[in-house]
Amino acid sequence: MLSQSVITKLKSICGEKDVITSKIGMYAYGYDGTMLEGSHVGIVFPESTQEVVDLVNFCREQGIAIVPRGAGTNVSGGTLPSDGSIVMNFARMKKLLEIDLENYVAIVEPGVVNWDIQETLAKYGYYYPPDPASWKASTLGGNLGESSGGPKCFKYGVTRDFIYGLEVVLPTGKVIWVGGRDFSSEPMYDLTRILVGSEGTIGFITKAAIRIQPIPEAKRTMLAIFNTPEDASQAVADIVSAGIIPTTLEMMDNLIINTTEDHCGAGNPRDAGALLIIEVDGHPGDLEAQVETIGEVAKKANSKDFKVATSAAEVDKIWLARRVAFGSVARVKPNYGVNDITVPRSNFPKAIAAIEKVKKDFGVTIGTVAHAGDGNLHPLILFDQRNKDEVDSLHAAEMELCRIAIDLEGTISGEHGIGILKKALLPKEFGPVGMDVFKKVKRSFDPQNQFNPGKLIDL
Amino acid sequence: MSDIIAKIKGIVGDANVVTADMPQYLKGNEQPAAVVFPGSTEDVVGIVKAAYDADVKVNVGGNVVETKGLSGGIAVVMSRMNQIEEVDPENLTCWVQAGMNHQEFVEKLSEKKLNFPPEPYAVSTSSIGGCFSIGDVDSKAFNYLPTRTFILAYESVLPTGEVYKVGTKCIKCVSGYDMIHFIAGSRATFGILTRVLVKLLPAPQAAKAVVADVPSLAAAAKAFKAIQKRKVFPTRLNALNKALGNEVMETSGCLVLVDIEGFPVSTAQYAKEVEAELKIAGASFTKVIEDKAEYDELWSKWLKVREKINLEENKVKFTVGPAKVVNALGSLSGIVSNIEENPGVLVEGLNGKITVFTDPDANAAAINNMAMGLGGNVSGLLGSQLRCKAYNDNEMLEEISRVLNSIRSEFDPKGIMAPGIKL
Amino acid sequence: MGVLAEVYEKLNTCGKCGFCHGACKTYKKDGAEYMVARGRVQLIKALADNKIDADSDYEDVVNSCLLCGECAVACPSGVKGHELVLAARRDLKLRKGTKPFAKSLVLKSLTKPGRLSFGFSFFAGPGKKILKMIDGVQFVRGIDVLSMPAAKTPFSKQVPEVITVANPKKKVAFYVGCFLNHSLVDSAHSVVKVLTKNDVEVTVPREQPCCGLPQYVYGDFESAKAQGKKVINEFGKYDAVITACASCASMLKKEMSELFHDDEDYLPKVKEFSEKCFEFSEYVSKELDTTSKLKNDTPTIVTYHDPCHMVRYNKITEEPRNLLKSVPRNKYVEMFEANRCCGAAGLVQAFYHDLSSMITADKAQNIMDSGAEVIATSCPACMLKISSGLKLKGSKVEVKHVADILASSLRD
Repeated sequence: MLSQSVITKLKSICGEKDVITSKIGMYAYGYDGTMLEGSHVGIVFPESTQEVVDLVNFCREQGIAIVPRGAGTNVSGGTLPSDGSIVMNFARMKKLLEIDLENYVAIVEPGVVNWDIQETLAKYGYYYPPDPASWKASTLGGNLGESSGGPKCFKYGVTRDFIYGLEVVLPTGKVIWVGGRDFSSEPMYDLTRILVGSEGTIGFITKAAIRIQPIPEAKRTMLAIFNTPEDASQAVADIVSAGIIPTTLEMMDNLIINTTEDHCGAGNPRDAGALLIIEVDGHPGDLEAQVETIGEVAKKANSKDFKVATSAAEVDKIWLARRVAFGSVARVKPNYGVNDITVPRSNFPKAIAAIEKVKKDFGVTIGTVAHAGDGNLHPLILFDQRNKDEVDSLHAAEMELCRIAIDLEGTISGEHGIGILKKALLPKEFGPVGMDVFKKVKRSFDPQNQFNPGKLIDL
Repeated sequence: MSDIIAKIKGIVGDANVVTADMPQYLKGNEQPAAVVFPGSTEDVVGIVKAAYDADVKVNVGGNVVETKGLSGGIAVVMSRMNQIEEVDPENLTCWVQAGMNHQEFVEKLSEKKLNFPPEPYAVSTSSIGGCFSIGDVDSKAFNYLPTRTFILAYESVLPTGEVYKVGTKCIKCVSGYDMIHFIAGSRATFGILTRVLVKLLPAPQAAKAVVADVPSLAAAAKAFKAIQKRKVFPTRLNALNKALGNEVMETSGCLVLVDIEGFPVSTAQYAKEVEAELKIAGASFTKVIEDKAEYDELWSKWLKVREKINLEENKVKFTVGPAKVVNALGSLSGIVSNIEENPGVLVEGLNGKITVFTDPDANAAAINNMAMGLGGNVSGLLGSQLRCKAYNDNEMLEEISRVLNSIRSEFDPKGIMAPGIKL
Repeated sequence: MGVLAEVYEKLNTCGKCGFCHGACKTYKKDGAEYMVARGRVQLIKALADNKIDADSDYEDVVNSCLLCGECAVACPSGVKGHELVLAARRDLKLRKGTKPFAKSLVLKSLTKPGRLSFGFSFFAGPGKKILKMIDGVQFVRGIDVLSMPAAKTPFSKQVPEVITVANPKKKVAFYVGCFLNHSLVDSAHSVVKVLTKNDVEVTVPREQPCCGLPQYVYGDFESAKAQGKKVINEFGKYDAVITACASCASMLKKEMSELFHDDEDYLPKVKEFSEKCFEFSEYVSKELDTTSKLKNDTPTIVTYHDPCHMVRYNKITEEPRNLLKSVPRNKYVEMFEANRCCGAAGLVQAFYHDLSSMITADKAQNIMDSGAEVIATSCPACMLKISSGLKLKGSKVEVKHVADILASSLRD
């Protein structure tokens, strides 16, 4: 519980409406996209950099830890409040400050939602490529915290590749700009890159200069159906070998094909082992040849069927199943755990086989969707959160998936971050020297462990 | 001192420690105690540990080592560690030792129809390790992104002597702090890179170049803007003033060099559009280069010019954004006098970046103020400092410096690595 | 746990992914987690689990929901947030009765035609005069009270009970709905004109009981059921019942079956009744051929706002648009976020007026950005709210019912 004098001070910093200590506030900010719960003592909504500075300084004096939060959609526990902390919710700091089309840069506040940026840019024929699945909800600040990816990042890169510079409030309460409005403005050390993906543990981003670009002139969407996931991943490898980097290469396995058919009847064959949604973009004159090559590759990889969308309606139809994939599994069990293990493309078939083994060993149902181009898998483990045994199996299976990823020379997190959920596995991926290096980074910025303590690593 | 040299000789062998005739391996005026050529990661560990224990300064280079602050220290030359260890076409990755020559690396991969886009910093000497420890934003960066995006994993020896390995063959990884990309630009202050896993791309299916002799840099910059208005984004879109341009070919005005990589239909189309815009800009000569040999020759000449620019000490690099280059060139003339007759001006159209040969002590502050007026700034650490000063923001200046030095001393508590670097 | 037990399974389906954040207008404006479906659902669940109390903060959470249904569209797990909020309102009603007094008064008044009629006619006469005397009172709680039309005589008393036509091809009853009956009577006349010009005989029953939706959405199922029965008693005898209010249409066509789901004896009667209820544009598109009769000399740019009850409850989206496009010289433009809530949302506009007005301001801006000269819609509540929003922004875009546009294009 915060004392009345602390609450009064917080309100004097950011205003009456921007401090919440109600019971429902405590409950509603105690969770994120995971099954975990935390207990904080208050929520503040800064609306300017100065308010962030004042809050950081005041909390430091009071010895109160701060947990930053955007929309709270993360699935790794990164925004889960630690005991006795104050949640700093950036949701009301959401201005799109500047759009400079000719110089390919926009300046935004951290609370702005990814999708809102896209909608504004689309009016001018521009976009910001990182497109995490949560983009209609998640804030740019959250995307920066986790360095979010998305289907398009096989060709275009992840969040960190589209950030020119940041305004950051450090645990000292000091404000610094790292980077600028181009990629050449880092103060030698690429501080932007260490801040992006740091899960709010070393600095709070209050402004970001993001790279925007014109929407490609043309796009072609294809659907290929395979008997087995192995055939599909062979096709993925061969497409890349043919010199084509598609914008997206999304895979769905048999279980997901069936749950999506139950859900919306997209018209995909229920006996298929896997399907691939392939999209290429670029100059209209180049795409015909690429589509042809991809068609040949699919045929060579024993595809049962290969379709090229010829209208917007057909594009929608191809994407329909993928769009409802996550939700469609709710028909099998009410809840699902989403994982984001990533393996080298060449180990993709092995990862699929290992997931099969996890199903048997742990008695769990798993449906897999994957960004196959970059080896990023989303095995969805189905469970019922009211059944303790199922929850335990879920957690055990998730840990096993992470171990599999490491054994296959991959990583435990391709796009969701470490937060609390995967923290225990970090030493296995990075070893003692690697863990020590992480601590060096944290100590350099936040020796008092005031910013999002207990996330990513412990000091 | 002789103790540590003896120790290092014991590690790498006498033949790989040079204490006389060192200048060919050195750059700058100071005199290290020895030049050492490690042949393996273990060698590097031994050298760094010995130096750390004895509190001796160390700096590293691919073929040539900067000696600033290195008096009596150890210059580590990585040229013996020059092997490509593994090319993995399926994952589009390659493990390469840090001492591998950058240009040789590019050429070897090209034979396998693989593309490593970053341009060598100094084509005659640069190594892959150097490439990432500088972490440049080169003239292809608009399309391929900066150099740092091509490192997927690496092995390094920390200043304290531990071997540090991080990264995977996955292009997506958000596990832990992003030490993978943070190494780019750290200039050996976090230790010595020994092996690097780089990201590759399929070789482009088509490539064309357009060259033109354009009356002025301003005319070239206007054409660059018009080209981008057409939604044409070439791989490189550069203009060199007369002095630099003439190292590639003789021109009466400035030389425009445009590189267009991609697929057959679009490259042909883009080349036409680029040539048309350059003609509108008043080019007295234009040519579309399609012949492979001629194309390669052109860009190898460019890389030599790039080397010359990068090795020049008296220069200022600044960015104003692609749309403001025309304005910046106009204002620049007021600071460094006639830019057309200057010993060196490079315009990178897509990056909106200008490099000008001039004394930074004399002109960087004025150039930065001019660039800031156009929404840009001088690049790098200097630019960061100048920006703080322009805003009279000592607090930010001090805080950035504190952060940089606190990171550095966490990695290198005794301050032995890269003594020439001041943060 | 009380009535929440019935929806407890559904509360558990929420996986807390937060994808509803982008869909929820109240969250977009407020930014607090408990102002979005995920927060509301989690809090309702917490109440069911006795982890929190039904305090006034909780009531605000439940009562500020627009019930627009957008969250359900966005939810990958198929959670229908608005239905769960409805259950929570029912639960609150059973715990505490309907509060506060003002809300209770409004809801009760709607069930009593006499009181409602008196209220509107008082407002039309002395009420407005009093307001005019108070300097600066133009907008009360975001609604343009001075220009809000109020009929001294309800529409249903302005027309004969049966409006005959020369050669009736069809016969319908017109369920006018409170807003069209007492406030936007011109639109009610437009409805009649469109129908009669197309040879439809229209009966306007003298008794026009409230459909029960306002009581239903605040959890007063008993009153709502009583209203539902009154409506069916009055209108059950007709072959087709037309309404031009999206909300009433939703109640008559769909929600009523939900309301009576626990009344096995009466439910079949409700279903039978719902089958013959039609929303205006739905009926016109399906049963009549208006196109040949439409004339229009003034080229007009027109856009359409989908009321929540049209797009997400009744799932009628194409019919009104096609009718608007069928008018000669009308240029139809689609506005940004045409199908998002305008902020009216029943009593939300009265009790959370700041929030509601911010949402309306977005809608008004989108309308203005579309370049339309006329914004048409199918719900009188939306019409009033949007008019106010446009006026606050100084816009001259006209707000009309789809029926108004058709009626003015039907020549004698």
